[in-house]
Amino acid sequence: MIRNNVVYSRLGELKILEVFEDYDGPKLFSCESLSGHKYIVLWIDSTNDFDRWFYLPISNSRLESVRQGIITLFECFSEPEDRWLWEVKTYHVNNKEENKQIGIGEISEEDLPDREAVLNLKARRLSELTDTPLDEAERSRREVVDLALNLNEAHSTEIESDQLGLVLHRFQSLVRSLGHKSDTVKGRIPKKIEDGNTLMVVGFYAASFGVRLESKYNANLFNYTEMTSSLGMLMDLIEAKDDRQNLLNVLEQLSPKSIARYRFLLKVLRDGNMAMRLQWANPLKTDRQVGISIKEVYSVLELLKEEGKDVSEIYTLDGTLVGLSKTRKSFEFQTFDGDKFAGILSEELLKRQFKIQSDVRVSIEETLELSPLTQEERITYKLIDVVEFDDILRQSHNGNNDQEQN
Amino acid sequence: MTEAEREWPEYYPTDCPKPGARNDEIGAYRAIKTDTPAPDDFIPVIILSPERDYKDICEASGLSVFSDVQDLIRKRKRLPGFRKLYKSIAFGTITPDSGLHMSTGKDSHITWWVYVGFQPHVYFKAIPMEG
Repeated sequence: MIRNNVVYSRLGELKILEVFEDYDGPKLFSCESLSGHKYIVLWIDSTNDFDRWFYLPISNSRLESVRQGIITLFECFSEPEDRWLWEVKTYHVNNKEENKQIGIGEISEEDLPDREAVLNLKARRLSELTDTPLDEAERSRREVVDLALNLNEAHSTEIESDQLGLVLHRFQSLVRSLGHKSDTVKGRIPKKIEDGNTLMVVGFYAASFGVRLESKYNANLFNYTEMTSSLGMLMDLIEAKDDRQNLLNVLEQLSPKSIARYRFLLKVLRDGNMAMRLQWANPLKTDRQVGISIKEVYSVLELLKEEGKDVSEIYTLDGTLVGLSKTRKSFEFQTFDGDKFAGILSEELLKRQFKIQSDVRVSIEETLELSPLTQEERITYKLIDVVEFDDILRQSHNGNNDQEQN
Repeated sequence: MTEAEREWPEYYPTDCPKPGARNDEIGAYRAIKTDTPAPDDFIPVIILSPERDYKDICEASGLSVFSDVQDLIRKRKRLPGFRKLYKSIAFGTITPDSGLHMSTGKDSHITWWVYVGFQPHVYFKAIPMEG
């Protein structure tokens, strides 16, 4: 029975923490025993004599994932972390109660929420980092990266906020680049890939200065996330350290943008005199650790000098020329997929006439560089060439005529 | 129902309905057990389960209705117990001669206190449901 926000049960006195669904009383809620064990409780049935409930033991991190809708209610109850849950019958008279353990294979779908039903609550607080990365990855079904920074080779538990910000920013940029398999795909990283390769800060811990990062999305049925391979590549890259041959082997598989972004990350480590250690775990039971010392940071940067300073790529895109100013030497272009580009005009294009709002094929040069002033990563665009679709069609038509004449 | 006939059930606590309860006309949804509203579908929870410990006896004496049907649809999706017990959702109009009503709870939940002798099920009709 529930009295004054406490569930009196044979499982103990359970204080209700949060009610997610109410109908003539709490029907889906989280609660905690006096010894700190948490449960999520679901009303599954009622008869004339009793109500039936599921009491699911749950970890802090998984409860948080359920609250935020990262894990559906169906998944939460159909795949208990402990592989069992309590079925509790509460009788309407005499407060009689019957409890039994139900194994993962005995849970009937009719006793579960709809497959797509989720809670959609805001994150409550940073989770407590009591779990190892592997435990956390298995519970949350997300990629987990513990990133530890060792400042001045000393065990300081404090870091300047802008230094931490830069490390996290460049680390994230590198992971996103690695997620874009640009040996086959050129151009700006699509938003979907950026989103799928996004890491969330979920907590801090004392390990010099430690930050726990987790993938924004949880794993699919096969325990893979969109960033599983990106993180594997990242670990290979750092593990190669300053071994020239190993490093070259890994670099061969990377896009110029990824190499530049690795260099940018190393630069911020060098400038902050920081060593970095990573531990990566995921629901596939991967548990891998790599690290790079300050000395190795310097050596790798020296080796990467040969890979060029700034990175430029030219790519061809179809879309609409939205705006153009010859006085300001600027342009604005939108692809048919909706990606927008703005930047400067090349000198050659200043002499030409253009129709605004026309459908065109453009060549754009993208340059990735570090701002000398702020040390922030900057991507600039230069419009190199514009061909109107009418001209492309005319050329294609002429080509066909020539072939017919031949 | 005339003014003189309007009285509250005797099990209502003092000061129930609550101050601020209104009598304007509103549309409301209620979960029902079959596809036809019946008197059994409109029994206050305090009568159905008198043994329970209620935080608010006045609210438990009224009927739970919702102004937004999505709140009931969401409960059907999230709560297997709700889905099994309530097969349908009915819509009706709460009129001034039926009683008083008040917004209570986080979502569109409304507590409806019904006058003695009023038959709510007559004024409700099941709506088509998906799934």
